[in-house]
Amino acid sequence: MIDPVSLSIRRFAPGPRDVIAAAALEAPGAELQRSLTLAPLDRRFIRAATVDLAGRTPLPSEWQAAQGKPRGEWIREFSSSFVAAECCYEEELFYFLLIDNFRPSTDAFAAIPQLLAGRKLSIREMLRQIVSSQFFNARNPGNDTFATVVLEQLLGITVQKEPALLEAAKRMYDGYPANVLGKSGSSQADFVRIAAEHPQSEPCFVERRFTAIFGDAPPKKRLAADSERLRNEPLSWPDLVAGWLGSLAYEQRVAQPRPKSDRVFVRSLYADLLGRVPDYQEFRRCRNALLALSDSRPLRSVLIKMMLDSGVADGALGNGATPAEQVADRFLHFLARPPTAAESSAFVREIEGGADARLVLRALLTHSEYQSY
Amino acid sequence: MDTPSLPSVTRRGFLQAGAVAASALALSNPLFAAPPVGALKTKRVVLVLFAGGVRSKDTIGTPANVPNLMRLAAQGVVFPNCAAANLGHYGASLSILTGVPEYMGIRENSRGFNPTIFEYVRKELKLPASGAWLSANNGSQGVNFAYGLNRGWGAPFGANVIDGEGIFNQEFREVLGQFGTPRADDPKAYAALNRLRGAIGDGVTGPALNDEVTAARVEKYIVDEITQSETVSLTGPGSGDAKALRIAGNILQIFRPVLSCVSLTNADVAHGSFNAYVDVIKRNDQELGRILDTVLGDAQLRDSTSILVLPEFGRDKNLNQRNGLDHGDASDELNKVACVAWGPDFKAGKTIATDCSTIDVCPTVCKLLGVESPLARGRLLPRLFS
Repeated sequence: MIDPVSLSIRRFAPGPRDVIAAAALEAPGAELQRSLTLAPLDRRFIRAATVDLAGRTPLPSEWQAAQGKPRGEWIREFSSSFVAAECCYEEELFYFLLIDNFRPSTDAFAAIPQLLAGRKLSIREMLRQIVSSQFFNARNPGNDTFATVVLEQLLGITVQKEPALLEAAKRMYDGYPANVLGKSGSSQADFVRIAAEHPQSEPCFVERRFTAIFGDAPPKKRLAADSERLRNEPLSWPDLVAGWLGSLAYEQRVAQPRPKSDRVFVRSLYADLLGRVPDYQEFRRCRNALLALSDSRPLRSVLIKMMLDSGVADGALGNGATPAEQVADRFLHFLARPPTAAESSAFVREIEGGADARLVLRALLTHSEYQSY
Repeated sequence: MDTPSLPSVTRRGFLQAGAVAASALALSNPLFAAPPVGALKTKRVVLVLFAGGVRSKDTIGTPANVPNLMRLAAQGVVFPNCAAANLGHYGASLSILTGVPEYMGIRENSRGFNPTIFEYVRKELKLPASGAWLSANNGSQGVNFAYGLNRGWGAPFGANVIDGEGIFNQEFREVLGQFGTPRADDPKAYAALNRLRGAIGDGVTGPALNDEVTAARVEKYIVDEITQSETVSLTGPGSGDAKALRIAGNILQIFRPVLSCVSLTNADVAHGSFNAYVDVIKRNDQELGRILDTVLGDAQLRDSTSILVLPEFGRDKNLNQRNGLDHGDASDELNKVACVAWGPDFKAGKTIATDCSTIDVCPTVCKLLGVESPLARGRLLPRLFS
């Protein structure tokens, strides 16, 4: 029998900074009780939290809905929303590389976000369904690939350091009696069940989601506590995330801009320019093109130009009676801050010299500041 | 950027010991003598991974298939006994780029642990990313070639990778169909755009591969490629490789990188059809000829550019049941490939039958450009220099 405690567990790509300060994660945010406005500080918070929960910047209706609500209440509501559940599901599909031809297409999978949002499906059950699906099986053919990916991605185990475990898993996958992670079985289904029920499943999931939101690994004690809570209260995921976003640590994290991934960029561009979410095919086409470059920023700029040239984004060109007001309005909308005096005068000078609204917008959107949140 | 440590001390020690041993051998063996320092004319290298699994008997063994490769061979050096370092496409191509026999993980979609040729060249020559390009047809794996995870090199020294099939394809055409082809920029408006961008204050969150100016140049290049070139219209079997080669030629003219690499894959169609495989070879050779013509037709490039062409491994000796060619019979046709080297510092019209390896390409290219490749385990290609 293999002792789960002694398994070689892979950490999820901790960032260059130290792990998040445990005390700041336990402390409530300083602004939790205050009602949200569209002032720069709140804009930045709403934008960051929406990106972290929904995988994109807010839609116009979401900006509107946030105004006037106490920050804590808004966090709790948004963490429990359908869009947050949908994003969680989509991120897990991407994590398991169930995309393009391997993307689950049955009604049962399409219903998962709704079930998650309605607290009728646990994270553990979602993961079990993903890993036991025909799509996962097709994506990971053969005993070696399947067993390796399940152990690595579902449980975070470094299989190169656990050769006996991998061999046992492969035997079980092939239909032979074997003991994996301390449990007996003799089929692929047995292996999936044993892996999905393993207590390492929660910490692995919690750690990757935490790291995605904070850009850094969670403190060990907090990881253990949150994992245990998710195991004992399987439907508590939205509450757990709300706790993270309501912390002082998250307020500190929002003050440090982070780059938008290609996926976040595509969804956010549609949200910011067209006021809507891209459908899956629109999203897929743009995402796949961006993935074809080691530095996708130039192609991001091309997408921006295409949208602006086409006229479909004219609704985002902005308002303002004077050039200075137009510039201030667009800076606030797209960069979540007012322009400095120098920026304002430079932009006004170009507008008065003939630069049109599309060119102004293109400059803002193609600048590296817009590529972060 | 996260840079995990090397897998283990043992492996690292093994690699370093190998590098030291290889260096010692290179110094002691006259076959592998280094070229005279300071005497090289090469300022740019074009490295073509004529990959996807290609047998020598279907290239230099059948000159009618590859008239342009034979042009290079006639004026350069052919190494017909170049041993493949790995027999999986991704690991084998990566081995050429790192100069180390690579073992890649099961998913074969992650970065290697060794520095790539791009990192060696960019770091030592202090080149911007526009100085090292990879035009790839490797799908999502292509960007992994840009750099490895060794802490001493890594992302800051990676290549600009572009996968033409990922951008200039039907999917992206549908994006064009939705929004329309972007208009070429009016020079005055473009200048104003750059002034506006330059006026936006310090909101940068971290180092990017390309600086703002280079990123703008790449952006313009992509727009020009979409609006003004024939690349988007390349279709049919082997179009991914054809695009990769066409793009490499265009990049060579526009950015004039010190190191241009092309990574091809379409020859792997051989599993199902020998004839389709030969068609890919012929089409790729045609595109290779365009690159050669570009170099020969440009006074600045002509006397300062070296071109090296090799596949990552060969293919089986005999046809399979589908009249195709797999890669797994351990034959010489699989394990040995032909490497062709052409350039101002090389011998002309020679065939060097001495055994060498695909991992020798990385240190050879580095030497040509005057940089070291300390973790590469290959040697200099033997008797190459004139």
